[in-house]
Amino acid sequence: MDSISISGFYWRYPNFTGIKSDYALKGINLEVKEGEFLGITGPSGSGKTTLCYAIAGLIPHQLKLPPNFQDGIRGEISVLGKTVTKADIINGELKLSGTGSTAPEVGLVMQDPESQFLSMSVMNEVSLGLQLMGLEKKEMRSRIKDALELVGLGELYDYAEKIHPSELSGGQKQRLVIASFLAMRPKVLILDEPTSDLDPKGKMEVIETIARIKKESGMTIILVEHNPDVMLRFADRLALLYEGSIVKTGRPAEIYSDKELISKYNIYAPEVSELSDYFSVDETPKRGIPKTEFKIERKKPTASNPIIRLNGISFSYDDGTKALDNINLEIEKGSLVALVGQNGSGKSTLSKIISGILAPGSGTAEVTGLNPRSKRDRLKLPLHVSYVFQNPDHQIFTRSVTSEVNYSLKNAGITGKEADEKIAGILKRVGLSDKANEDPVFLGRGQKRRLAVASSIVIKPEVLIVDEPTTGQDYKMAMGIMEIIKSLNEEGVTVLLITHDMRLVAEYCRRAIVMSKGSIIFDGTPEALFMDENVLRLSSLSEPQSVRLSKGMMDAGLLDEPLISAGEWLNFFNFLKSKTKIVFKSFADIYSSAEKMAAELKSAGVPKGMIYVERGGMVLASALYPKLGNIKTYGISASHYNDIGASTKDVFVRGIESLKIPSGEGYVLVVDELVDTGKTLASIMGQLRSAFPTERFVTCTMLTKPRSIIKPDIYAEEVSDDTWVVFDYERNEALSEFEKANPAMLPELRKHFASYSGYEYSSIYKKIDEFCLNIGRKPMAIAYENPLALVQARLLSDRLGVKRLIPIDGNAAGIVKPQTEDMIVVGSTKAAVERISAAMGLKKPLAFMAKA
Amino acid sequence: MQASASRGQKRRVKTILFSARSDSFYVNMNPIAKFLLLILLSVGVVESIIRPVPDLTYNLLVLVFALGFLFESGTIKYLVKSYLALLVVALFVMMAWWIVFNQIGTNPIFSMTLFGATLRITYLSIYVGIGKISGYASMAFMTLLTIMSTRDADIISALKRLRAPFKAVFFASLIARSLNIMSDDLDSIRQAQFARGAGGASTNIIKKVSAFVMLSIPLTTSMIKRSVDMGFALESRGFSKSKGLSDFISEKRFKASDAAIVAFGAFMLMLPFI
Repeated sequence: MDSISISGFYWRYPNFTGIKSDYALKGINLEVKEGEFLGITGPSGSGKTTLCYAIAGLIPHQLKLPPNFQDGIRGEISVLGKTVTKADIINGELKLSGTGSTAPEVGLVMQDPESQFLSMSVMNEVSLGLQLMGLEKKEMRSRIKDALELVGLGELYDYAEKIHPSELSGGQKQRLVIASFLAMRPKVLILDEPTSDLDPKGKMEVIETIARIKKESGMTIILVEHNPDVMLRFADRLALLYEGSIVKTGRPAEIYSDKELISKYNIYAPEVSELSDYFSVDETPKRGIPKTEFKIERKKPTASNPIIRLNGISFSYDDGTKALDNINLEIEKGSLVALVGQNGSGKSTLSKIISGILAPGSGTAEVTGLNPRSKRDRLKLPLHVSYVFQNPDHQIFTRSVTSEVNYSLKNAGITGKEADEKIAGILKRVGLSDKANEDPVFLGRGQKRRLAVASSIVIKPEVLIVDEPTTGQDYKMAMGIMEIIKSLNEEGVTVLLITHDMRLVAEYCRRAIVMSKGSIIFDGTPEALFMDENVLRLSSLSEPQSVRLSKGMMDAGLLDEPLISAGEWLNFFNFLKSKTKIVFKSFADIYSSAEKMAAELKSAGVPKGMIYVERGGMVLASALYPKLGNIKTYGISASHYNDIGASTKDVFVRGIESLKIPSGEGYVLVVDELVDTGKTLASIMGQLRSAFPTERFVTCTMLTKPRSIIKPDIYAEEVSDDTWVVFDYERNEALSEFEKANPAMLPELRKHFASYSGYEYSSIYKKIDEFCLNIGRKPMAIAYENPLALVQARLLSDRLGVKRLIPIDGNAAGIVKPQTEDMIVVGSTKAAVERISAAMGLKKPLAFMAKA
Repeated sequence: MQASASRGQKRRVKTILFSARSDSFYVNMNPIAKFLLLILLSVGVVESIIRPVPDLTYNLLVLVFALGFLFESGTIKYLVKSYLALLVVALFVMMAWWIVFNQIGTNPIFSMTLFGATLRITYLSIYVGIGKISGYASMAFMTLLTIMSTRDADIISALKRLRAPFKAVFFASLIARSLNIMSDDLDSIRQAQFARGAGGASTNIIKKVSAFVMLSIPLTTSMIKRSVDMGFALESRGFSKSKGLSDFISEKRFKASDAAIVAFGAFMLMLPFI
């Protein structure tokens, strides 16, 4: 059964100018089922609030149309089977019918709770609707108690008569308004952006309350909201409103997956929508993401020239509330700093002290060289520190856009031609040149916000404080403001951004200061903040979706550090995609390069030993070994996982401790196949030099890339950074990796393998494949004769996916008995295999393999 | 202060001005009794100070009563912070003014002739001056006590108790709430104005007046928006459908202690007439 039915509804607001404005609602057709949770979203001015008023019967029964606005309404709205509004044209005249007000069956919770409180105590506020219903005191008390408990304010009941609504926190206020309607036992609850001014925790408190009520009572819920996380989590269906029309209805996941729709209609979307090629809306990766050496480059906060210095600042309000407690803070000139924390944590008070609006109670302070404790300096501070308040309506003091900007200039003593030029310049910058003579009161919310910014920055402040720049604005407006702020910061203005929006913090700030109960509880980079669960919990904040995705990847060992914004994720994926070329290296190429490299090495003297890095360096070492005169050879391994499989921040190198480098003159050669970023080789070299401080090490690789942080001493070839390097013996692994990470290039890779005729017919591959087929499963380890069976070990390791390789010297000396028999033993001869097995005490190894 | 305060922590309540102790006798008095007491004591003080020689003892008694309950209700700190300096200066100037222009008494403490006129300060003139000023002070403090210890909700409740018409009660309730919102908005607007560099006007009286006038633009805009919202909020609770308010859930009954305090006021009123 439909709870709400709207057909062909049009509405145009009456105005005083006589010029008819466009319809705020245009041909709305909408059915909402009983018990449904319908979300309504859309850009500012799209008609969301008007639709709520129309459903509640306030339009047109409370906000009436004057006689000359007969064409201002059309259509019909029914709620719970009753016609609320029906507009008919009979004999050319508008005839309105319907019940009008839908209370108490329909409750309407609006954006600003302050404007909805009509009484002076919590008890009276909840009881007001019940009194209007004419209920008895006993019934009222019971309903009030139930309603307060339902919204999680049950503990206030005993004091409800003594608590003034203004004493509540933001989240509590909005929950109180909801309780006021719940007490009336409505069947439909309409909520118009009820959480826009709340911190993330307050927001979730309110929405979770609503969802719980819906679940428990089966109430129909209509929620207007910009926040996609809320919609995805709670709404059954989403209606997208644009310029007064419903342009799309559907499941939230469906709508937020549609990139084109999001961009066309300018709605806030979850961060994954920007990454829709890689992630589903439910945050599931669409394809495998490989481990890479990707390193995000972020601007580091500088520490040189503080423009704000606060030492031991405390502040209490007249009613005794301690708003700041011993604040110590320095803010660098030219930085863009986020000031975050829950409602009432002291952010605004701190900002007002910095801008001179409030005088600090105790402590010392210096802002742009002025002392906020001195009244004389405080009066000068607004000329150096501009403060853009959250509510633009509170900052409009004149009757034209030009004079509004001029008001700041006049106060700063700037007049005449200079002022005119500044006004023209700043209005152009914020895109309000065409509104120069309009009355600011009648500007749209986004335009008012830009005017407030223009009026604040026209005096070229050294510090700009912006309070919640994006609240109540659609995506386009919000980004417009942020781009202005960003460009000002790039010009050297220090910006202090007060916000609850962690996406803004991640995208624009390099420093975040977190406040809780009047104290600073965190001061550091946004990425450090998002990884600090304790601070997030204490400050009622939550990490952005990008960080949530990163945490999952970090847990899987695929990322070393979090990517904190969609932009960083896109950089990451571009990094993966950037490898657009494939260089295919066959055995023949490797042996040919080894020939040349050995000649070069010999000219500098034969090394006394060779260390190869598993598994990359194994084949090259095998090729170099006979050419360097059968020198002593050692295997070490390096990875981002430690012995128990946990991912590690630094490169974890195994085998250094068992190296027995021959004494005497000469150098030690360190061999690897490819140096990409160089991070691994650099780490290995660091650890080798630390373990053998007197030895000389020479590095040697087949290939190197220009971005590598370490340049090998000897290398055969340099390939560009955007090149995938594939060795022919990596067939299985390479194909599987390409399938996950770069499916577009998979056909090209297959072509390479297909064109390499040697692969199909080479006896070594054939033998390995047959051997693997016979084993039929993955053993725990491969023990191999070092270095004569290097290539076999490497190939087996690739084919079977065995990561644990145990190099055994030819004489099998010093072998530690392994804890498992589940291994393959590979040797150059059958005798070598038997010798190794016996030395290791293997009674029944899984399989043996002899090279020849 | 946020009422996330758990049980047992609600020690203060918001009143028309500032806040007061929630367990105070005076705060919990019925507002009708409080207003009656204010009127009775004020009439008594007026009777005392219009005499040629005011009843200093009576005035001081009322003053002590007011100060005592300002202390008891936990509002005296706001009096000290906000009004005391102003009141003391004003009362002192009034007293000096009265002494200069009311040359009474024959026993001068101080005498001087200025431009042919003789200025005398006598014991009597000082006594009368103190008597009058203590009367004014006691009335001012009693008024502040009443305002600072009374919640707007109590006034609305009292109006309902006095059987004022439904619309009048509702109107009064909305006015009280609107004043509350307006006061908050005004604070925010003044801060925004200061942030625009208008604070420098504090040294120039014309600029100061002009800055004050300019506050009216955002305040009006804000109040228009608020009034529309409040209208909608009222309607969405079913105001137009309602035939009247049922009893307030938190009406303050007129208790024996309220009657006793009114009786005390009546007794005090009689004293100057005896």
